[in-house]
Amino acid sequence: MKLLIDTVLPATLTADAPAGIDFERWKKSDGQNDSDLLYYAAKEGFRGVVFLDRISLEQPGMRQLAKELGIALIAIDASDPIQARERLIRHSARLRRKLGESQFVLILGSEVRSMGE
Amino acid sequence: MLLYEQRWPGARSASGNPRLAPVAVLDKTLTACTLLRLAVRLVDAGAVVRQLGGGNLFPNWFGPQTVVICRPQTRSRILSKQPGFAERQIIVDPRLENEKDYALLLRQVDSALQGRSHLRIATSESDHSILWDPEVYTLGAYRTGEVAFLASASKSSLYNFVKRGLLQPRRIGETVWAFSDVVAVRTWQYLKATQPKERIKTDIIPILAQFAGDRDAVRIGATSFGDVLVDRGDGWADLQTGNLVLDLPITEVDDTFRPFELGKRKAPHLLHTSKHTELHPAIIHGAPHLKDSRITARALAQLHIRGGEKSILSAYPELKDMEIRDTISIGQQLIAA
Repeated sequence: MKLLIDTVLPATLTADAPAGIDFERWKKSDGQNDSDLLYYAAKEGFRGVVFLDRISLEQPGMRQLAKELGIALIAIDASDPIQARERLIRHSARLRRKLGESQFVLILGSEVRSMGE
Repeated sequence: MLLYEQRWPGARSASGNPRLAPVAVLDKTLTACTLLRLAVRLVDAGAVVRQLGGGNLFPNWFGPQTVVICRPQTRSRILSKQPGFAERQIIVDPRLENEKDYALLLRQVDSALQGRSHLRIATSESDHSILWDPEVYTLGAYRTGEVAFLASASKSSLYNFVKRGLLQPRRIGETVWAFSDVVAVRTWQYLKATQPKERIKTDIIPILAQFAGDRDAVRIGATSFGDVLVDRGDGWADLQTGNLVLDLPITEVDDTFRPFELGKRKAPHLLHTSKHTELHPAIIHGAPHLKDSRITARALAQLHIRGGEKSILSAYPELKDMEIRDTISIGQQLIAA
């Protein structure tokens, strides 16, 4: 499973990806808008895009665009990007399972939760 | 083909997807210097510039996609000899006194262009008209503290506006505000700061917050009397009624993006929050972020709290040797707000 991770998440994530998951970190040269990440992910066959902070998924039109493109949106709630990285790695197995049943997923400290549409 | 179209824009297929926009400029309207400056900007933006001569005959390149910048007499001539020509594509005697005027004119030309042919207009610090595009203005997702910081208002004022029905943020577990809410509150605060003797009507707040954007708008304005106005290139009109407005003391909403002080509160520049920090509603849900990146000011401040610069460089090695202190400071203010 390939996941595109936003630039705000630490660069070391790509090297620390657990087995069965490939992380690619967004590069600024590819564009800056939120929708640019979604279009790129869909074009390059990513399963979803990972953002920091649940409010990222509240950008108007994001979820609708993700639905149209058929990609998942994942947000990580954390006190800082390094904690977000730890949570993403720790919950990667749960995340894989959750993505089987939901397109919008929130990673918290102790659980991985579906987000409503 | 591109060169051919440049030389012979009249040869372009009307049904195709033209990449170049023909623009005719009548030089008798403008001084040579102004004409040259305008022509350079238009060409840089991807337009083809031609001179329209006098007489009743129109050149072959003159067509329905042409935008004309001219004197009133030329406007009359075009409309009488080319009755099908769209009036909105004729721009008469534009004011061109400063950079902002040029930027507004380019935006006006762009909005007058038909079909999918558009200019490449760079957003500068003095031209924020791109923000009025419906696909931009309605974006953004902010927490209450962030709105308070960006709009230079207290949280209690924001909640009071909600209670009075002036603002309607989304409630999704927490309260989520849009960029339009930030602009609405900030404009009201700015008017209070710059017109301390006036009583600023709150009517502008719901109008600006609920404004759906307007791609043709080159300027949005507000008055202390509660009016919100739009200029689509042909003067100020009331946003809600469409009636033309004359002789009102209008504040351009663009101006409210500049830093200002209201009491003890200091509002940063809204779009260029600090030297290395910027904000755009389409980028990272509108959060202030390090210029030309997707790293938020808040994330930098969070990492700074965790372990100073070492933590920041550990997460973002690409920031080595980059100036980020002002962005960290913005992030600290956002966290504290």
